[in-house]
Amino acid sequence: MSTQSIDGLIVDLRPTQRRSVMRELVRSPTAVIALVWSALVVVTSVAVNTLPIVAWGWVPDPLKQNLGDAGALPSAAHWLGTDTLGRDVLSRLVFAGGGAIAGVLLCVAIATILGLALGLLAGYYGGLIDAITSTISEILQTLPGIIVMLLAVAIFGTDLTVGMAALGILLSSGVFRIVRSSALIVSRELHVDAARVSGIRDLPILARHVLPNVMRPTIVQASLTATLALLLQAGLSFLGQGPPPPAPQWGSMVREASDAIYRFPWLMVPAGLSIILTALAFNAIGDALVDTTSIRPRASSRARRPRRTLTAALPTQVLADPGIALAVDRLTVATESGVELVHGVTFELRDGQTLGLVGESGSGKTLTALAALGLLPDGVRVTGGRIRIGDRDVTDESDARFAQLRGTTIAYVSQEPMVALDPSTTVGSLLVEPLRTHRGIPQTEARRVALELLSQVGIPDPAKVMRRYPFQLSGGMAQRVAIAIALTGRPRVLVADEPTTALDVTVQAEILELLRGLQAELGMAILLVTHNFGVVADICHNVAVMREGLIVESGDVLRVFAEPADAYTRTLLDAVPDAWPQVADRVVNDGPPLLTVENLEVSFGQGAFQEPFRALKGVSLDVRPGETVGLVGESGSGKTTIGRAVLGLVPTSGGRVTFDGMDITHASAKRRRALSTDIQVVFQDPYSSLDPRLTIGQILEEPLKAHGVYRGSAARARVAGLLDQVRLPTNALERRPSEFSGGQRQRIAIARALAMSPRLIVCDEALSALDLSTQARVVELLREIQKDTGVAYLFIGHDLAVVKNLSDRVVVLHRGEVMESGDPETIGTSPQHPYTKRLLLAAPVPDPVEQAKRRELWLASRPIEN
Amino acid sequence: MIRLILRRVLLGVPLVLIVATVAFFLVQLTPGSPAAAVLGTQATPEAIVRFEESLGLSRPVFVQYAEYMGHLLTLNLGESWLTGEPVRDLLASRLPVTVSLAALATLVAMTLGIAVGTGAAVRGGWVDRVLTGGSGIGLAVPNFWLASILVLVFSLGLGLVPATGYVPFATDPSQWLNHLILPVATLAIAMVASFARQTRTSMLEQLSSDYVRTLRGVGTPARSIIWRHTLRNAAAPVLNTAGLQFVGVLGGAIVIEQVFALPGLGRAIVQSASSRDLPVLLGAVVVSAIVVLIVNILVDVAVAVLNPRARIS
Repeated sequence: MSTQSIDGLIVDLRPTQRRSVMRELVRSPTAVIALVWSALVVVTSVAVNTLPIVAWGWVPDPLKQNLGDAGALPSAAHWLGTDTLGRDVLSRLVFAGGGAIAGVLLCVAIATILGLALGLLAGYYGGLIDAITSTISEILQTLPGIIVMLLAVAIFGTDLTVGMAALGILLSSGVFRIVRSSALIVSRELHVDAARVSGIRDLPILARHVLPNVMRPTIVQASLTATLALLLQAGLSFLGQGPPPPAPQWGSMVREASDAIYRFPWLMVPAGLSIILTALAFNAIGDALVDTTSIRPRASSRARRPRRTLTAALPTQVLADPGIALAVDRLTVATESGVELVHGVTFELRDGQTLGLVGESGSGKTLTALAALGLLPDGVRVTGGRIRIGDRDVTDESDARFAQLRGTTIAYVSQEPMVALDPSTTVGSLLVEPLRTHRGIPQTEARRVALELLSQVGIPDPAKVMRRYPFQLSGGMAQRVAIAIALTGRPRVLVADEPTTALDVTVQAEILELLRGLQAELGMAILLVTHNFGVVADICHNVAVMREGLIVESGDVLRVFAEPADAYTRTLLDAVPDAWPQVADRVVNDGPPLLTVENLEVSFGQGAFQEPFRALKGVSLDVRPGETVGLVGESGSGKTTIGRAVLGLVPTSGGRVTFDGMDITHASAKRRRALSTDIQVVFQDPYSSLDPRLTIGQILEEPLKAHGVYRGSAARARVAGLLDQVRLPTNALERRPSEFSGGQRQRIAIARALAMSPRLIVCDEALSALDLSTQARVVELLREIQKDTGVAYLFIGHDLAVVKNLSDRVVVLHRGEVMESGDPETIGTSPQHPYTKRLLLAAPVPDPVEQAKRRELWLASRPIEN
Repeated sequence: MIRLILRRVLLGVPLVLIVATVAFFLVQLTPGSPAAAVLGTQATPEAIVRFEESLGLSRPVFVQYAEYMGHLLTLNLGESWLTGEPVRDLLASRLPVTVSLAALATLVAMTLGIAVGTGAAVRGGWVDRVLTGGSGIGLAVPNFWLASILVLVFSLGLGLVPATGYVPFATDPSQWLNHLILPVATLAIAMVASFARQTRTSMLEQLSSDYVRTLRGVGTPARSIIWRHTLRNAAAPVLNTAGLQFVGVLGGAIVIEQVFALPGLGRAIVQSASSRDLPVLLGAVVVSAIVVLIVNILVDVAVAVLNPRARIS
């Protein structure tokens, strides 16, 4: 297998660019000015306060009065003039600078150290520590700084040290708040869970994975704190509560100037500017530091090169055909920087028909659909070809004109129903508003039609749902509402972008059935964007297969599925799980189980006022050495919770987990660390399961070092071996996760899991984020590894077809309970439990003829909706 | 909604009590006798003993604490060591000036800031750079300095508004407003850019969210997307920070009252800090904590009105 062929690995070998913080700072002119100014203030004030510079006559005495020369403007003798008592202003400013900077440093140091330490602990551990520290922070935030400083002054006298220390404690609440919320987010990322499962102690996890990721907001907050401290300190001395006169203070100098503002307005300038410039400098240094701590991923080398493709012209009579709802002719789409993403796509969609635009991620299918809607994202535009909706050419339509077409002529349903609806608006308003715009009907009439539409899309209690907010709906309900909204303007074309991808397979079947019914009733044309050939086989009349911005094959579904003409179409059809190579010989192992889960119960959200949610209601299963047990279920089935309970990442509320004969249900942290050499994990999301800041080498070495088994060259050799085991080249070591594709990252996650030669790997939806063709290759890899190492897998997934293919035994889970378990063939051909039957029938197969039969069976088995 | 308010009030009461407790024990840390500090270095030992006896300062700390908390529950904040005036009356006469100043400044800054930020998010371009620079400078300019400059330009120079002084609202509303224009402007200027920046960020995030694409996809007019949908969602996080901003402005008001000779909390607090009149300072800490808590409850209510997710659940 060559380097390039592994899921398109980048062959660019430049090392990741890293520069020293200082060099990076010097690159920004603002930062340079800020640094120079701060240095000037510090150096001069330290010098005048430590060396007898006044005695040497280099600087005028800041205390020497000369009433005859009061309020003088700048001159050669007094560069910044003299104050109301004739003292030299510059000299006073310089002497005052030291106190100002020292106070700010003290305050910032206290605020940052305190806030950072407590914020990290609160965000990482949560629970009681979080509750206590957050309350303290909330209390501190109710107090204005100046009042606290005045109190400190009244209690401890006008020594500013105590005042600034008190201010530091007060302002630590700001740092705490920011650090806590960032640490909370980072701690929930999968790479932190992965580090825990690798047996790494809390302190190193905090230092290596959490701290670097919260540095940015901390630096911003520290520079804000410095500014605040400087201004509050000056404010205090402005109020006459700093060190007593005649000692120079920036704030008291402003006060003196302000008292004499009518006589000597100039005096406002030097003292004011000293404060303002220093405060600006603190902010500028903070900004510049933030820029240097952000890692800069190299510009992606994956962007497709511009490519011109000639496509045969569309016969003109096709465009004149009145039955054509949407025609796209040689459409090209490119970014503003000139990278072409869609290279001349041509298709037509007739009234009452459904066209499936199918392809893997990055094929340009969604961009094509959005172009037809006039909704291309910023920075991407149509660069060639024509788009025609009905008999109207909309290619050059202005945004405003296109907006009038949307809703009434062409409407849109998006992928994620839960985030596709405005969360702050009721379902009723979401429907009534477009109804009034599109149909010009009054409010009451619009409400009546809205109710009708909701029943039309199969919502049981429309009047009740009208008052609901989108976040109170299930995914399937939300998608029905989104479809109802799309119907408000009676569009001729409905563009549905992966409308069922985010939904469970049983819900998907319902939504597809709804779309089919609506089309029969209303005669609309549907452009369906999907990656799923089963969905195409289920609902589409025609199909266009896209790859890298081109349509490689199109035509009637029956023809394309029966005799795919293009090699790529065949590859995709062969990549569906049912077509993957089957396991030759299943592992039959009657020995004692490696992992036993007995009557496991897990509940979430226990509280005084809250009914706990029972995620697992007594689940039992076992995994024997060297075998693969597939755990399949829909969202809310508790399948992920089982995996996390086995890994010790969630507390259990009942039952037992046994590994290799030992009860590990409530294993101590130490025991868990020891177990991490035996039990490992590969998480679903390959984007958050690898720490973006570490190189692949560092990620793979981490578990090796934590257990101290491999050191130095042995560790390096082991890491190289691991990369080889997952078929990645050794030049991957120096790179960071952002430089790899999803499939490659999942290989890296597998390599990390293999590092300590575990006996069990929990694969938690490990394939779900990947394209099918990539999934097939990762499955192949997992099989090879199992053959070589004898590792057992607990393979958790939502797609029965995938789980069946890989597993020696399958367990079906539904709402926290096991429905049935058995060998994959039996479950796949003659499931016993009605739920398994529905699950099996609901999953569409990529064969239009077969799928039509299955649909009939599914419709017959469908429970009456309540 | 009523339950939300009740819950916030119930959670707020212990918070105030904790603040009072911490402040009380801080005061006990005063090195030496507080009486010596109040009476000055010339005081005779007898005078100090008499002073302490009269105030009950010679009793055990916990007895004093119990008494202080007992009084606090009946809103009695004790008496000033200097004048013997009840702290509650002293602060009550000053509080309205400071709170109306801080509240007006926050409202003005928020209104302008949200308007400018929305404009910047929708139109984009150079406004962004001006806002970023503006909020940086706004943060860096000391309010007491700005106050003096505004007085110099608008009162002493142009004679548009009075430089100092205060007229109660009840006496003459237009004069009241006239005297508050400069102080409110001083406090608001620095905040406008910061509100605008937050609004802009929040608006841009909303405008690029999936639901906006859906709204556009079904033909919702741009006007309605901005005013009915995104602004509402974008305003909630901005409002949430208004509570924090208010605390800063309250502190700022205390300082700039000196410049404008406003008879607010500021002068009372500064005077008592100079003369180490601790009961007044203690009272001021407790009262400002109460004011901030009330403002935070108002903010929570406003957020709940805008955001149903905060209201339901």
